Amino acid sequence: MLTESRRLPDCGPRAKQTCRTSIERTMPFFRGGHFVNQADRSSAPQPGIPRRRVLAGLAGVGVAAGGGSLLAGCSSTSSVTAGTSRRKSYGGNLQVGLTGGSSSDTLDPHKGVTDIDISRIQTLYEPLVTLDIQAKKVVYLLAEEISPQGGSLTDWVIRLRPGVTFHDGRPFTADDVLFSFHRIITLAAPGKIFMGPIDIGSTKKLDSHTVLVKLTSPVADYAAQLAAAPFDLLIAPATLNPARPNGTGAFRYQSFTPGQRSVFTRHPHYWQHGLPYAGTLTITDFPSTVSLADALTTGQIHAAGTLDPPQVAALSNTGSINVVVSSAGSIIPFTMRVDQPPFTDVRVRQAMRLLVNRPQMIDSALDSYGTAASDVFSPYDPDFDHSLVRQQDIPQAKFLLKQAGKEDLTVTLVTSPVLSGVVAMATVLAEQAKAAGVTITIKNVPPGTFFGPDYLQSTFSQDYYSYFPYLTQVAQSMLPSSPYNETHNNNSHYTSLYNQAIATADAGLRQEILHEMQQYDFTQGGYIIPAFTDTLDAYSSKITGYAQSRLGQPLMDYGFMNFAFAG
Amino acid sequence: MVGRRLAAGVVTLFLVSVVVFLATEVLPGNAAYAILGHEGTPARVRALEVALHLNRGLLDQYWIWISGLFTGNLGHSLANGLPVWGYVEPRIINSAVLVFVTGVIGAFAGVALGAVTALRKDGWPDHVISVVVLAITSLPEFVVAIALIIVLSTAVWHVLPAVSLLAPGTYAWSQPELLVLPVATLVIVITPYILRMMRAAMVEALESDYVEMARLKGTPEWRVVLVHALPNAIAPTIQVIGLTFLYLAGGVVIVEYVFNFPGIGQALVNAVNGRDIPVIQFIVLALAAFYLVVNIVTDVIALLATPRRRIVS
Repeated sequence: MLTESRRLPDCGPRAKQTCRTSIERTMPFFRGGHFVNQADRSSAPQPGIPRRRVLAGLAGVGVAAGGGSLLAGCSSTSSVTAGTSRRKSYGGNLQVGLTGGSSSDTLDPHKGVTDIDISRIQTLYEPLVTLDIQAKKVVYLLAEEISPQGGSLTDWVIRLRPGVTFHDGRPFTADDVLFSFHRIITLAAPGKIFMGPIDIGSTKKLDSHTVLVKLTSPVADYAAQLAAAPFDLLIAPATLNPARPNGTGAFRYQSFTPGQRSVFTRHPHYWQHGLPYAGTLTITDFPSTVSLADALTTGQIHAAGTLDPPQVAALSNTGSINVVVSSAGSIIPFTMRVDQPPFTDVRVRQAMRLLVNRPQMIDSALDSYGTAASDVFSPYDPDFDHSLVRQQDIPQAKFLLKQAGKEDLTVTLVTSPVLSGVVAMATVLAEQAKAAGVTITIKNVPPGTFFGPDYLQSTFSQDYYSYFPYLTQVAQSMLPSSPYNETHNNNSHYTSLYNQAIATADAGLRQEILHEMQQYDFTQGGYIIPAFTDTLDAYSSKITGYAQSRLGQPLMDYGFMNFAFAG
Repeated sequence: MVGRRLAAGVVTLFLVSVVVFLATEVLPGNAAYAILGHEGTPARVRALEVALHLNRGLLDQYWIWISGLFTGNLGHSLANGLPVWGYVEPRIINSAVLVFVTGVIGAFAGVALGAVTALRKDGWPDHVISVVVLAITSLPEFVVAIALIIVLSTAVWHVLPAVSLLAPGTYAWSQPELLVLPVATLVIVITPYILRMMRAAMVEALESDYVEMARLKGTPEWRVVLVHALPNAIAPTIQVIGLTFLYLAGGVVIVEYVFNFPGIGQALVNAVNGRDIPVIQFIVLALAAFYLVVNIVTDVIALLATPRRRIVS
């Protein structure tokens, strides 16, 4: 299978010291409202997985320090990479399987919708900056530096990395950045919201490798703003022809059949020297996680992303497979519309949150693959308020409902099997609600109906998000201008706090503001967030270079360039 | 007879196209909602609806499609913009291979086992086969498929691929090992029906007066079975084999899903989920046409196999 046998130490020849340091470093994990180290986590019971296999999985994982999956090589401005104790070989056809694809799969860098779309376009294209897989810091990719011009927080200079080439050999320049920014805005693509208050008309090129971004209102850290959703802010060439993909990513396009398979080959002039390892990358669509797990078991693929708990339990007993459970900051919230009865009354919203037995819901609906949450999102944000903890309190829930005159509350919850665990969580909530005298009628609709005209409009429903830093999540779902404001939250003080926070450079002051916003989420918001859900992936023992990720994207945030056949 | 049936078939196909078109309109949402899914904010949905011309009237959309059909233009998939024929053609061929191979193996197996059990009526082979067949008949396809995967791929033996990862642009016959489990599943599912019909017809034939007469004449037993009993038992079995082919045309959907086999069933499921009307229309029409053709062919063969029905009274 391996077409080349050249072997290099992990992380490439120029990074030995950095990588050794990274391997020696203990990776912290977030669990139960506080951080614990890896040893603590691996010794914790993992229902559904025999302890032996979890440990084996982690041994295969090795230690991932800070590097974002898009940046695994070690250049002067990058930090660390995923590394393991096993030697990596170059070449070979890395076969990856994912679910969720369909005949509407796309390779357009700004039209990706599903996980498998993102996996492919993130392979072909790269953003300016990204978030490291520990969700801690900004990693610079196509940008070398993003800094305010003359101290003005409305004028940001993006200095681009020199020497980067597209797959067709054309050099990457400021024109490509401007083209991509314009295209994202013109298409009203999902990335538009993540570009902040950009004044695209005044944004311009300063020279071939420098762009001046003009904002209509100040942003304290524009690099962090752009890094929060890298998969929606990919840079395409100014000559983009979506039918013939041409990016700067580690792999270049070879073939693509929607709903079936896509094949990519190594970009020979990739700017991160030594990467990628695989000579060919094949991403295959699977209709179900069952056939995905079967394909991994029989060696037809080498890595399987977004598995369901039953498959993880079965794969854990297979000697040649390593299961990787990542404590991600992903959420599957219940969404209560704060502008529609009965949820216009904050006492009803609070009662609904108080009746949830979170540990029981995680055990029953998520097969224990999750961490208790308290209705506030973004657990890995440095400004996340860990003091906000909510536990089940049936007497208080009943008291609040009585006060609101809703003792015999009956509500309809619209759910759908759009993601593993969603319907199960709805069922468990309906059971738990009975204790407080609340009757939840479950309306389980097919995904096509769920995402139909009533999507984001239901009085009581569910949704899901991978991990985003706090202010980014607020921007996409908590403001009147948010595209996914399913709770129809519209609080002017909250909005002004957001505007204030995004413009505040002082870390202490910013934390104060964010804590006040989270206090609002905790006491008045329309989300019930019972858990931060884990990401479940599995890898063949033939490959190495993978790690856990907190971002909630499968397969180490699609870090295919780091995966290699073990030497 | 064939001409009359063909004419009726054309009318049927037209009616099917109208019904399918109306049925897709009844489904909630449309291709724009389906494509955008989780990212489907109202503004983006409206923009995509305009781009895909979904804002046109129902009659307009149908007219564009049907007029295109008569000029040989099947249109483009709403989901990915590819020409419908280019997208569906390899899948039709793959499914046709699956159905044909399964049908032929299942028909021969069913006829042979049916004849054997009839000849050994009330003997132990008859009892054993009857019980096994009854058990299999009660199992849905996906149970058979999963059982085969467990036994032959993942848990007991690792001799066959669990999923049929056929490279795009290649056809099922290029990697026969990928066909084994899907074909085996469908053969196991269809054989009992053919077997039971064949057994019943053969038992009846073997107990008939002309077989008794042949035996009394001293005709060798193999000749009695092959020349006298079998041709008379085969006519009703052919009808069942025809029905089995029709069942396979729809039954492959589940098997294709389980084995990730790139066929017409998987394409249809994808198209319905994606509200991809041009693809749904074409696949359903192709399936309807297949039904019509198989019905006509089955009737003709059954007619040829039944001499007394060929006599015009």
